Amino acid sequence: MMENRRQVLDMLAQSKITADEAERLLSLVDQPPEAAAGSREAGESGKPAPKYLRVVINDGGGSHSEHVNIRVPMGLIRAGVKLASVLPSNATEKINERLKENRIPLELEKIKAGDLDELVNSLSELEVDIHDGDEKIRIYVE
Amino acid sequence: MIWPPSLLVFRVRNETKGFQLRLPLFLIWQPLALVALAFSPLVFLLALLLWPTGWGRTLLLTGPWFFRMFCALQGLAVDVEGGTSRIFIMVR
Repeated sequence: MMENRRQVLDMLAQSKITADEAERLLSLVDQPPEAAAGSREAGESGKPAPKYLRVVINDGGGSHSEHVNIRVPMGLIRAGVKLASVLPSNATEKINERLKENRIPLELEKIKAGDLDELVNSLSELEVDIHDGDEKIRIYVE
Repeated sequence: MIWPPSLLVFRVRNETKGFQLRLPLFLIWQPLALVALAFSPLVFLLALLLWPTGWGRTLLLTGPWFFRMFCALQGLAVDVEGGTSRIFIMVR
C-alpha cells in the first residue's frame, strides 16, 4: 500500500496527474480491499454496477388494467449463462445446430462469464421506454 | 460469500379469495445440505461411470450450478396484476 501511495505522489510531483486525480487515487489506495473491489465494479462512470433487470408494463387504466412488474437479479442471468459450461460438448453441438436452424447466430461455448459481465456493465445505461396510448412498457437496469 | 435466499413470499388474489404463503427457506438449508451430502457418493460414482460419455462432468457440476442458481434467486420479484387478480412472488 505504501508503494502505491509513493507512486501516486511521484506522479503528482512529476505533474503527470492533477491534485484532484491524486486525491482520488489516494482515497482508493487507502480503502480496504473489499471497498476497492466495489469501486472497480462501479465502473468508470462512477455508477454502481447494475444489480437488477426491471421490466414494468402498465396496460392502460381502469378496473381491467394489467400491470406487470418484474425484477430479475443480474446474478440469475449470469448463473443461467454458466449452464453452457456445464453441458457436455455433444449436447452443446446439438443446441447450436438447432439455434442455427432457427437462424439464431449464437454459439453456446462462445458465451463466457467475462463477456457477460462486460455486457451487464454496459447495460447500466439501458432504458427502453415505450408509450402507446395508455400502454407503457419500461425496461431498465438498476 | 454467497448465501442462499431465506424467505419466499407468494401471494395470489382474485375477486373473492386471497392466499398468502411465506416460506422460510432458511429452514430447508440444513435438510437439503444433509440430502446432498448423503447422495454425494452415489453422484461421484455415477459421474465416474458416465465420464467417458461426457455426461459425468455435467453430473458433477450440476449440483454446484443448481446451488448458484438458487442463491441467485435472491432479489427476484414478480408482480402481475390483471383486473381484480394478482400474483406476487418475491424471494428474499
